[in-house]
Amino acid sequence: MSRLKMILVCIALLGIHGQVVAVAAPDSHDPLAPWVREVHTVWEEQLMRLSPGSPGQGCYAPWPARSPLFHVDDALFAQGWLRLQIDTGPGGEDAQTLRAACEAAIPALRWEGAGGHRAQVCLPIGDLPRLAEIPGLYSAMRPPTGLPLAKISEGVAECGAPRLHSQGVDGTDIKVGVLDVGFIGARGLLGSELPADTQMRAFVGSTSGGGDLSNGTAHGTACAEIVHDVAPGAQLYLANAATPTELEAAIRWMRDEGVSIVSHSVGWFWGPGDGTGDIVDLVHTAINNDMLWVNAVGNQATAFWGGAFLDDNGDDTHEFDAAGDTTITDQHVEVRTEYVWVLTWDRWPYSHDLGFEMDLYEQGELVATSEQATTPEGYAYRELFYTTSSVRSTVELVIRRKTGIEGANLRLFQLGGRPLPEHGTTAGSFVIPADAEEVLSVGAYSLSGVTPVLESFSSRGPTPQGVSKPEICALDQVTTHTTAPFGGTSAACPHVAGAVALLYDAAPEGGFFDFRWSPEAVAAILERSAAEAGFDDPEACDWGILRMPEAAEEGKRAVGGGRLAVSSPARGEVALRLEDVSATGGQLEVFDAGGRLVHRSILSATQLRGETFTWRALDARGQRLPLGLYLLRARGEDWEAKGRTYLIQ
Amino acid sequence: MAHPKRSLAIPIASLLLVTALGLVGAGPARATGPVATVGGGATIFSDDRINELYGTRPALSLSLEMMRRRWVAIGLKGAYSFGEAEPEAVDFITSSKTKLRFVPISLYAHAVHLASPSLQLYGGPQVGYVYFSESWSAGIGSLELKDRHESSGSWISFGIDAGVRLKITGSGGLEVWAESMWARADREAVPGNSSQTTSMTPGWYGVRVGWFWAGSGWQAATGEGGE
Repeated sequence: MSRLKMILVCIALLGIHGQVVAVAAPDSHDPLAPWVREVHTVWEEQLMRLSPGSPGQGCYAPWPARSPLFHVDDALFAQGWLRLQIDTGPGGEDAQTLRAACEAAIPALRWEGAGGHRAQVCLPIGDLPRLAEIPGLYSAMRPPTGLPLAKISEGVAECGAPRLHSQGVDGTDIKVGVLDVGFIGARGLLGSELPADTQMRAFVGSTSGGGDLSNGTAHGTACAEIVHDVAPGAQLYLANAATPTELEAAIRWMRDEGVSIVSHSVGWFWGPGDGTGDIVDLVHTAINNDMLWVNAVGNQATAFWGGAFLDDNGDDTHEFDAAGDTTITDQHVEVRTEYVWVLTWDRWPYSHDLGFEMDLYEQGELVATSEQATTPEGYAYRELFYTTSSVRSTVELVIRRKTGIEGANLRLFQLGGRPLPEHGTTAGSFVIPADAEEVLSVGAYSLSGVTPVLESFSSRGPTPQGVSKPEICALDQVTTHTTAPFGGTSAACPHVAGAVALLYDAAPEGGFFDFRWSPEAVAAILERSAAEAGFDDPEACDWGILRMPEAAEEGKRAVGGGRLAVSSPARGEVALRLEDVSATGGQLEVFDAGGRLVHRSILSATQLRGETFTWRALDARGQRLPLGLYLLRARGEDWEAKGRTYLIQ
Repeated sequence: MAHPKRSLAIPIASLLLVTALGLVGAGPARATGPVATVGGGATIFSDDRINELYGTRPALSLSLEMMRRRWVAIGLKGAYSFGEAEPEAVDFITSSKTKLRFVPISLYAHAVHLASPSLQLYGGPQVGYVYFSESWSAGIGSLELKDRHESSGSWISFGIDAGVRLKITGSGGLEVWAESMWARADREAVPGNSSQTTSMTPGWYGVRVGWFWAGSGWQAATGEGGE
């Protein structure tokens, strides 16, 4: 038996195929012969498809398996070439000895290197059969490769993205910007956890984009990973910014790069929280340039108080409740506990004739006041920092009016990490720019088994204009390479940004234009596809839980129920009418802007059938409710309808 | 994305056109009557995506040769192509439709050769303006949602054409011509937003057949009745 006949050329063909193919002279004494013949036939068929025609055009034969453990060079294959690892076999001869024979048999062959018994070569697909003529060649195969140890966010499967991935919808040609604070480690993840062609610019410390990308945090890297997990085909543009001017520069860069979706898991506090202000203005420049802005709604729901300045006794000290409590008291506080208080009011930005200050007491002694803050007076913004010095101390915060005689709507955040021990309100706890109506804001939930559980810290609306926030909730406590578990609305936000990229990609293609859904249509798709949240607080998640649309035949409207028509603004009485509700029972609940239940009543059969009725805007004691925004919720066992009204005079 | 061949083609076509126009202007003052052609044919788009979506589209065309000096002629021509398609869509999209209108208008300069008393051959550069509009609608039945857009745009195009006129009657005959046109543009997601784009291969090939009516234009070219 000639030596040539003993050669097996095993060609584990290309990523496209993942098949092991062998070329061998059939030998009736060779136990592998039947197998070799079978695979060889498949390989021959493949060659017939590849060689005569144009390899780049539709020649990716539908061979079933594509092992990720063997290297594939799709670009090379598209040109009609293969990269292979050749082997001298068990004898352990130096593969370099094959070079001359290889180059003689296949003049086009490119010798890429050798080490020990193996060498790496590239050759035209049509020259594959000639490998069998090379003496001393034991096998040829796709080079083995390593797997990046990728971590995929659990939110990907949770929202139903894999079904779209399987249909080729992965965000290709969609540019998503991740605008964050810092991106430690991002460069090291290119080609694995992040796309290899990710573009990065650091605007922190440099409005020209040459600053420090890491900026001391990997927060942005984790967010970008999630966008990539949900929309693996999308091209990412990472930029950091720490000031409004830097933010403006970053937005400008993203605009020029053609970014169409921005994921911003960052909360700002410099603004009135009513959808206006410097930060929101910058976001509007992005929106006006056809960029869809997705923002984390914030993690402040348990560390926020919002409401009107109340001073019944006229001592210029705010009363947090009707009983006249003037303090937020935090007891048994450990030493070195950090407090960061931020107070804003609705006189943005300048408030020369009306000023408020915060005073902090520890063990009854004034230890800090916002009058010491570095921010100048004259703005409707005060802040106070303090780290406790006593063990198990009692800390009290007081808000006092320093100048002016008018009231104002106040927003008070405690950003040090501790929840407010008393007087906390959840409504209005959103961060800026989630307050902008055009911004798609995202709340967070986690899973208890398979049951969605609202994260208690997930901020919520409504805004002073009555806009519900957040519109949608997505999963947090997810796994990324950078951070695990990655929690908070910061983790939820990029899931939605990635989902929007998938929706853009899924839009049927035009010829002359890259048509995509309008922002209104994106909102409608997300709203109507969302799964019912079932959270107790109706303001925690307006549309529901992020889900990609279901296949047409399986589709259903996830959010059931009818509509509650409410007169607004209303003086004294509020007219109500239920529409499209076919229920035999239900109740009406009314919440104030602070999320407090102020009214509950049973709905009558005629009301349920659509008869117009009135709510007299009285509280449980029959007292007229204060002017302001109220949320009304009518609901039964399997239905819910919401509306809101603004009580005036 | 810049295509080197096209980058050269555009200035070359422009130069040829300007030269031809200059020759007409510098030639003997023998302005002749117009030659008008009405025809139809097909438009084949250069861009793979447009071609896959719409395929070869029918075209109606009009041509008016306005002036001729011996062997050089200039004129205007236009065409109208239309089409509609149902783009492929993922499983949740229950309806998808696009409609196209494509109107190229070109100013051409032809070198004319009289092959026989009844046969003219011509060819030359042309520069044009193309208006196109495309409407798009997609629906998601399960969500009771339908979205619709109509966008329009334009290209400045350059190219060449060549054709044959066969005189059949005293004043008219059959004309067959073909053209190849190029432009430089990207595919926009939002009309007017030049940042959010993907690359495309703008341009088209046209093949037309028509009937021409020639007055003194034919005579000028053949020398019949000329100076």
